[in-house]
Amino acid sequence: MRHVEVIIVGAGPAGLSAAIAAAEAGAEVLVIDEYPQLGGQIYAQTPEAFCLDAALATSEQHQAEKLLKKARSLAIEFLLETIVWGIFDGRQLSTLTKSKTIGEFWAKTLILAPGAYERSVPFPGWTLPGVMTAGGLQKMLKLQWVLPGKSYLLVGTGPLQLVLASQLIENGANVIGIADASSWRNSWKYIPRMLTEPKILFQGLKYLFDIYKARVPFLKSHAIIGVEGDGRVEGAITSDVDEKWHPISGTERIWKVDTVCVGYGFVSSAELAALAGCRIIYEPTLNSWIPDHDGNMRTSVSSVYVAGDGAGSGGAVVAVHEGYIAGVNAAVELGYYKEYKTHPAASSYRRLQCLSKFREVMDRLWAFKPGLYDIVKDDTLICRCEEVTYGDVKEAIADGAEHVNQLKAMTRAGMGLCQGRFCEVNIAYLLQAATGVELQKYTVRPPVKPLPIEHVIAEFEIKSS
Amino acid sequence: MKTRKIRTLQGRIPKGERGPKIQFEVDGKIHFSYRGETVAAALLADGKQIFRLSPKKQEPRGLYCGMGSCFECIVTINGVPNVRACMTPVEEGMRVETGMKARSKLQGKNDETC
Repeated sequence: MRHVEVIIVGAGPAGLSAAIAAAEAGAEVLVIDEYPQLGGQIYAQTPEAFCLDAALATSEQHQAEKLLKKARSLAIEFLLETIVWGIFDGRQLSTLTKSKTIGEFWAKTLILAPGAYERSVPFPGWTLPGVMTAGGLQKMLKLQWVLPGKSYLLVGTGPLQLVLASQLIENGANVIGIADASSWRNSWKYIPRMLTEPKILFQGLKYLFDIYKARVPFLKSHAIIGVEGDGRVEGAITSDVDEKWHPISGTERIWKVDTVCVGYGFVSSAELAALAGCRIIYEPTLNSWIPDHDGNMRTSVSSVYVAGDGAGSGGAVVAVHEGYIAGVNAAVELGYYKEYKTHPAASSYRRLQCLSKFREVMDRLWAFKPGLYDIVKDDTLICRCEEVTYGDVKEAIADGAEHVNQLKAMTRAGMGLCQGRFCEVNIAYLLQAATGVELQKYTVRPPVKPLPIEHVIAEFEIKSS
Repeated sequence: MKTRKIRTLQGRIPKGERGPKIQFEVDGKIHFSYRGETVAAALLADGKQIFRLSPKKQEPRGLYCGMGSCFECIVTINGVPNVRACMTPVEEGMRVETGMKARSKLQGKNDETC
């Protein structure tokens, strides 16, 4: 097993920034990521074989380029196309490379920057081809330059919908409408706090102006309640929702559309932190489970740090500064940065402090409300992988299930290929609504991503011979 | 006031230069793609939205999360099952089988045994 001073899981904005901070201090740094290219999701680069016209690159791609250049200029080792499928004894990592070889690493300090995935709320027909996450469509558009449908309906909540709408319009796609479940009533009181970040605010207004200019209907307090189609999406039904996001009957609208993009914000990817033994807490403002951490990005387990969306969704800018703080603190722990006048991460601490006000406004403006679960019908799939319906879940609850782990054992929800990533929060909410128990989390066990068993077995054979 | 013309583009959009054109196979038929494209992008660009059928209810599924988390887009590539189309770049001569082919095979088998 190889010992490394700093191992970082995730090569997105947080992971790269952490790597830069630790490498600048002189530490030995290894970054592991599942993707073939650096950048993670938001800072993802177009494929190497593609040649993007520099004028057409988004501001994010320019920011990403700066960070990538810096990371490449330092002595950082990258292990790409490699999955970290297990963490044992706190900081021992088990990996699987693309060529299907198992690797083992011991991290003197470990920084987890796994990012987040999109929150999905089940609705009738949400498994039909043509329903995809907003992030998934954005990647298809931004990195692959492919428009998968003829018309687009954007539903959900959060700033990503606005960004995506603007990008779709810019690329000539037919966006027929945007339904945002959140209400902007009384949002004027947030204006002073929003003015603390004029650049971000201006960017947001630009997206809104693009939508207005293209005359795309932008409906607030409006949500999707179902899609229909034979084998693929052919139409969608939306309806007004009240303050708690309960759909209001009689306000339905029918749309003829072939692609529906859903996104209700982000849920932190906390499974690796859970495997490392970190305390995982429920963060109500984000409606997500996150690894508990302090201002220095330290978790409850010694020498394990978290950063970026994986530590609580906050976007790329926040991720960059959290990553830098985590990297500097890991380096300090290892004995680098012995003497300094001003803390090496001082500017990141300051910047995060400034951003916190804006972040709070964003979290409030687009806070998820569980009233939307009214749209889940008995035959609606809750767990897409194992095809478990709400009816199955209700039956298990009637049979006495009081914990999500019991529901998992009784119905198989959460046992499929995605390992509960897309059903966990929903099952927890539905169980809470039915029984009044508090929100719970599945127990996380390795492997956190499916791995072909023959490769694990082969590895053991080599060892025993 | 100038009214904005709404175009209804679908498939590949011109944005820059793609990689060299390559040929691969989907369910036994020849398809074209460009180096750098993922299998998912190549299938969607050709209007193929159904990637597989769910194992229990045999319901169609396609690309969902697009970032390797949900495993909805799994197809069989060069005989290896359960490969994520969104994470796999297309290669020259690659053989991709969607779940639709699996169904027709299965139905054929059922017909024989009946």
